[in-house]
Amino acid sequence: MTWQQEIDGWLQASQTAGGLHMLSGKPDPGIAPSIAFVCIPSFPGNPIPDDLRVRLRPDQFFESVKRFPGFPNVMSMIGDGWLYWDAYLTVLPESYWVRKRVKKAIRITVHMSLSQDLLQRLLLRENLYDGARCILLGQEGGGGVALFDNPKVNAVYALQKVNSEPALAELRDFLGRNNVEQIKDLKSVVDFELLYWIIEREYQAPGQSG
Amino acid sequence: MSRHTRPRRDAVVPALPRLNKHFDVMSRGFAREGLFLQGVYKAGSQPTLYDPAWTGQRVPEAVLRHEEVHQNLFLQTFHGVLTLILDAYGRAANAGAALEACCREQWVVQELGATYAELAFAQRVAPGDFSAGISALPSAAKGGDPYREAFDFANWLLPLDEAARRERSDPRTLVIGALCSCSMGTACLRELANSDYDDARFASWITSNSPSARLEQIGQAAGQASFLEMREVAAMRFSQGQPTLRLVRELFDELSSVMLAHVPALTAEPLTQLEGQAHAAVDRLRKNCPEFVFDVAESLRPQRTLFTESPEKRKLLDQQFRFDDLATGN
Repeated sequence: MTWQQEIDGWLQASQTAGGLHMLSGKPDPGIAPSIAFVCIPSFPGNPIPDDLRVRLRPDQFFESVKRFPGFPNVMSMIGDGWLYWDAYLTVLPESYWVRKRVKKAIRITVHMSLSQDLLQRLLLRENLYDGARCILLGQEGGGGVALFDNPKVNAVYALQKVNSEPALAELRDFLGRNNVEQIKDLKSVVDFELLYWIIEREYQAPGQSG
Repeated sequence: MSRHTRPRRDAVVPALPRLNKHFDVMSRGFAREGLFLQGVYKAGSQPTLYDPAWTGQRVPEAVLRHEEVHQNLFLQTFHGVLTLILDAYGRAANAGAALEACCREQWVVQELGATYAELAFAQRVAPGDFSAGISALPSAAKGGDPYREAFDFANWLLPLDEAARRERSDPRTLVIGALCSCSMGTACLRELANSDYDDARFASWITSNSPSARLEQIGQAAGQASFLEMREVAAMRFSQGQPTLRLVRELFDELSSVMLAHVPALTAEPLTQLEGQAHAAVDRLRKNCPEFVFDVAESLRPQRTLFTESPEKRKLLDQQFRFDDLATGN
């Protein structure tokens, strides 16, 4: 079986069970990016394939998902991953199907490290900054995940991992100084259920704190 | 004379630990070690705190204090600023021997000041964990790095006893900070500014003017009584709350005079001259090597903390969750 067939088989199973969430990041120089294929279960009763973890170039990734309309439904990039993937995307023609797919996907930036500078960079992505809102999904024992959205920016989100009380204090300081509004009504976050599922699955943040 | 009738001198006056010659200070850096790395400070970088849920650190703010002391000792002392300059100069010219000597001769001073500040903080917010925190310090006696021995020297000068926990504004940490600052207050930047740079010669100068040796001399000569008096001065000065940087510098210069009165052979550069001497040293190095770039104002600006994952956790996760190449040629 070729790698194309193996990935295609996985994508067929994922399509039967639901959607595709792809997670990636910025690779080391000279190496193709690591990509995790995660099935988003949407059709109960169908077997959910285990995550597939491969190294693929962006063109190989998109070639793999080409025949599956709507895939990827969600794209998450850890750290500076979008800088790398954008460098590939921006040289493609505006009307090219790959760009359309990406634009239709829910696009998430994830920061596992936290500092004032990194928070600024997190929100500058796709202009979340101007009008950003935030909710903290806390973990027992301190820390959690901060979810950012912006009602003016469709389908773009940012997640900030918060791993200690001092980090939480730093986040709160940033939110206060930048007038980031707290999300009070979870229903106002368009994709909240899906995002919560992703956060819980990938970043383990049960419970909600103020 | 029976060996029982006269106590050995080192039983009364402790000594600072010595780094053995195999201690690789350049790869070690200024990290807070333990069972797992708790945090790190790299010259000119951000104080960094690793995920305490992973490292098992129950008082992460204390580790933060530790790394902030490193940052202060790098940005606010003569020997610290020298390290930043040599680190940058080493990218444009040969400065390896001097940089190695520079890091080695300050390692104990840095870890003594940082570990004392960390444990003084932990004592206040988690007194129940304080003794365990001291016991858990890596030590040369247990085959690790001599954090415990460095702390013991500072704790001998100014014990973190029950009275310390009740003091307002933590004056003991300030006095130990002043001791570290005074020890790092060598004429290194003037020396750098006043002569053509020769790496081996300057490395030798640094070793002869070792901050660790200075700290030991000052501590042993001044002794506990003098340090308790200095604690009173610091307590009175800052009883009204958080001190500003300017006031801390003034206090450190004042306490430096008190300390050096016990060791007439030593002098310390006044902190008010730090930036000026840094500029003069950088200008001189630029004459030797025009490619060398160092922005004094930018380099001496403190950076806020980076909170991130432990490198050990990252390594374990990378091993657990491998990515297949599936023979894609990648």
